[in-house]
Amino acid sequence: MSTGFESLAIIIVLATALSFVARKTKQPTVIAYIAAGLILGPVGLSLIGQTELTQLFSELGLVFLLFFIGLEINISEIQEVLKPTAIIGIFQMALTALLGFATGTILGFTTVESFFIGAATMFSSTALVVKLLTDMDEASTLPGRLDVGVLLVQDIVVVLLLALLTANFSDPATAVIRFLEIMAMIALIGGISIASSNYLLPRLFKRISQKPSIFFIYGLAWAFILISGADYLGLSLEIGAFFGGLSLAQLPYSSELQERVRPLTDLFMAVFFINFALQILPGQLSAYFFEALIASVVLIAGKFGIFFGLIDRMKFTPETSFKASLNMTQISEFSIILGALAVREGIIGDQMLGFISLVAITTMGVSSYLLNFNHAIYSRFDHLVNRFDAEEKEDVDVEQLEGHALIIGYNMVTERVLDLLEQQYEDVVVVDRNSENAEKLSRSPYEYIYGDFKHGEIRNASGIKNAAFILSIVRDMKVNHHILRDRERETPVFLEAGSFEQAAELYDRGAEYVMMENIVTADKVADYLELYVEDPEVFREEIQDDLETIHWGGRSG
Amino acid sequence: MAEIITSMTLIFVASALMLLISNRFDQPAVPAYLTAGILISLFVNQSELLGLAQIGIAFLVFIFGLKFDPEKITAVKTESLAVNSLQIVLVGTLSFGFATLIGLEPLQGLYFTLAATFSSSLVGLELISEEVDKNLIHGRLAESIHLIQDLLAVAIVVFLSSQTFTFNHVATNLGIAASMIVSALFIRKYLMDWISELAEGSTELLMLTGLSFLTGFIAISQYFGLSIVVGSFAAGIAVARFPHNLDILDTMGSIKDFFAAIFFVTLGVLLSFPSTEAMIMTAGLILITSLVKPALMVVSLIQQGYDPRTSFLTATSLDQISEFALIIAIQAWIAGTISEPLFHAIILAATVTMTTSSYTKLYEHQLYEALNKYNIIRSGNQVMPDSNIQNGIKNHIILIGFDIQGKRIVEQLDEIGAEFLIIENDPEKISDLRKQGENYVYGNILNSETWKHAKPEKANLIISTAPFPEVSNTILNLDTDAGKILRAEELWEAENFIERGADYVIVPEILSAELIKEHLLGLRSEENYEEELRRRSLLEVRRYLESEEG
Repeated sequence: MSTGFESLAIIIVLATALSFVARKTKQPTVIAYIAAGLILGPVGLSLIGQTELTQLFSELGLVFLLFFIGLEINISEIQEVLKPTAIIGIFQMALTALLGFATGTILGFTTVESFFIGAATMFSSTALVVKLLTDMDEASTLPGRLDVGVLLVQDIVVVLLLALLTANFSDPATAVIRFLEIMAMIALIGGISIASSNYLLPRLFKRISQKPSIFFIYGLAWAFILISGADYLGLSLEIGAFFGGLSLAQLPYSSELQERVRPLTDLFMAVFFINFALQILPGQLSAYFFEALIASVVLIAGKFGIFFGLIDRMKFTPETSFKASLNMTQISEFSIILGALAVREGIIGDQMLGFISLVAITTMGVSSYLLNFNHAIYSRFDHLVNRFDAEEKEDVDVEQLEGHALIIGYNMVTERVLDLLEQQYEDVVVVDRNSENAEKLSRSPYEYIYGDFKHGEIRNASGIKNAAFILSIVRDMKVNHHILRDRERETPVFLEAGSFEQAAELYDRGAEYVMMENIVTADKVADYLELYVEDPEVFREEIQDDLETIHWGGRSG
Repeated sequence: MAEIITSMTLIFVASALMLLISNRFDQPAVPAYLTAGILISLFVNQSELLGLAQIGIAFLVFIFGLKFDPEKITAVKTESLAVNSLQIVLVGTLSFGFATLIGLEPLQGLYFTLAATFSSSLVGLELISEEVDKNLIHGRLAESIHLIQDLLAVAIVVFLSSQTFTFNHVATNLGIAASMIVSALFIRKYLMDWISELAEGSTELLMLTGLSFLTGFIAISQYFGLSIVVGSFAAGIAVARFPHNLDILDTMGSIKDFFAAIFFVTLGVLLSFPSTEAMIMTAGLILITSLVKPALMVVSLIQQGYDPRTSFLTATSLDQISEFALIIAIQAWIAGTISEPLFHAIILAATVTMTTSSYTKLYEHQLYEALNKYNIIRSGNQVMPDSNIQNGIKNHIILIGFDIQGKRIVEQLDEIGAEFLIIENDPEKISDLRKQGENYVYGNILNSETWKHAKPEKANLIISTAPFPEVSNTILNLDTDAGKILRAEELWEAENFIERGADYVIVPEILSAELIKEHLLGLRSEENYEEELRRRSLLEVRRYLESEEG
């Protein structure tokens, strides 16, 4: 392990330093990871090779990524985009494969090689797109969901392709049988995951969703069960992880789990990209350097066009089509995996792998940049894009909340205040992460969001920028900071603090009112003390109301 | 890859199953993992897990270093320092004696002693987290005792890293470790703010920073031949700059959970069926840890002037074996310096004592009553209860606790010129009261002895703002006509108190709700209500803060 840690240290320190640089230059961290690998590997200083640890982490990276993706897919949420994404996904792959094939032939590659190029380049990078979207908190926007949906369809095809490549080609009959077997296995594991999602998991998880770390282990255990299951059935581990996440995604607590899985996924994926770059040999890159650059440009433009055309045909607004397409212009890391497999099977040569790797790096780099700036780029071109607009085009989108009262955390205090809030503000949104309140709140007339307010997605969904009043009984200072940062200045904010120092800090940051149990208690006692000592009769009268509340509140509560 | 996946599946599924049980019975998680490991030991390959387990150690100690607050050291009471030293010396000598008696060599005896002497902050602090939050004395005491012990544990790990125990070697190692920690403190003080600014709040960058320091410091410690524990600890300290440490804690926390689970399960896996030798050692460890150690602690705390109940409650969170012992054990095992029976004994004893300690915590009040009944715990040379009350006091108001709420109420009492006395069991607050010349009783509220001094039968009113049902119950059971104002956290509790004779019960959540409603209406009806509200409330908080300092 001793050499392991030293190389790991160098890799991570360099990756970190480059990530900081990337951030300053507005690049996504993925580029930094790839750069780190390139610098340290054979292409650059040749300091470090792949180690067992980096290999393991790297493979875990894809597994966790698919698990993470599965967790994102709340079926009810994507139902509205399910049909269009399936259609877009399939047609896009066909068209891009054609484009790849054509490009390959024009650039002078053999038919087999061009065919391979077509197959390898028709996918977009799940790792990159999902990571960047979640970083920007845009995974649940409409373009985001379209992209994730298409990526999923692609991932299924990738799995099939992977299986096909390892199948026995000599006998077409066996190949077909094997293919059907795989489909059956996928159906089986899919079935298990959906079934357990409806019956087994809710019961299992309800009790322990209170303790985050235990909940996390449960999620991992379930994921690994399905991963092993997939392995046993001869499918790829990633498919198992995906279905594991998918079955958990239907539970309301999945966003919590996602947040717990995310750092782990980030870590493994970072090593994945670094590892990927570490294994690239300089010869591979230089062999078809110019061809690769040309192919990259063609693919980026071509993919954008294909996506835009298809999404536009599905009657989404031009803005959605533009952004969703802009995000998908790269080719996937799977192209490299497919390439490696193809080399092993003797279908293509080493230098082809280098070609594909270079195209991957280039398109990933450029597209990350495009993705990061998708809003700005859109504004630049919106007059052009809007030429595509038409009457019947509309986005299926979530209701936008405005002028509502936003409550964070549900307890006795907020419960008692809800009535008055509804009177004053009409719409009330309650964000709460305690699973015990889930049933009650879903049946209430208020808009209910299950989740932790610390998470960007939840904050976006709560419409905090458009709220007219915010009340939070969550004492977590991080949550309070988020609230004070995200809200509009005119919106009054009532918070709760656990100590006087915290309360003072919150006031300094602009809170209008901070509740503190101890202040409230002491003040009340001080109030009644004088009365009690000087005029006991009046004291008894005064407290009648409070005693009534206790009596009746105790009965009904 | 496939084999690791199978191992991981087994690890997590077994852990999930065991956690189901442990959660059901409110047990800590660590024994569950250890047991899970025992269950799957036949099915997994140990060697491939060791690497991942080491990573688990790294993250565990890293998070420990991250949570570590150097300022807490300076705030440590001299009492806890004294108690700790005494206990370590006594328990240490006893365990080392026992070890030698059963035939262990000095180095093995040292390992045995370490296991018996140090308590687990991982489990222990979790047991008392609520008490610490509520600022109870025994919570704070236990916390500071854990802190000192953990620091010592790290120092001992450094000591044990030495290949040979020559003075030179050990001194060099300690020197290197010390310089690593000093540089970590330096980074924490001067560099972290700058780095966090550069990160612009990106959790990913902060996580990477944490990881860089972690792997970096570990690499450095490995280069010098020190254990990874030192590097991890130093790394944790380096990045623990508030408030950024919270972000890092969030992200690295999940990663730690993942690897720590693997670590503890691996320990269980390494356990095989214990030999007779191992069983003897296990028994010895358990006895010393669950009986002798807490007993000695209670005695020394009483010596220091704390009342028996507080002393006992402190001890019940310290009666288990530390995870540092486990870390030291596994590193020794990998290096081949610990005997196998002893290694197994430590793991087994840790599993048992971590479980039993949560039971002693759960039933601590009942246990104390039982011990008290049979006069096993003697008050001996205690300082309490003590009092300083005006002669012939009557028709007075009895106030429980001189905390911030207490101070506010005292202000009011002074204003209306009432006679009052305060019951308090924190020595610091008592010395404040003494200086201010107030009437007080120094004792534990739950003890009847204390009440004898307070003369409730002559009192006019008893006020308690403490959110503890035990306190309210004690007050309600007093033989007195005095009025009673209590506090409850739940409505049904409040109603129960009123039925049993309380005149008024404060339920803070209801009060808060009423206030909010008032302010809500104000927001609607008046212009600039927000600014007024903010100004007023801020002033009030500042006043409270000043009264606390003054």
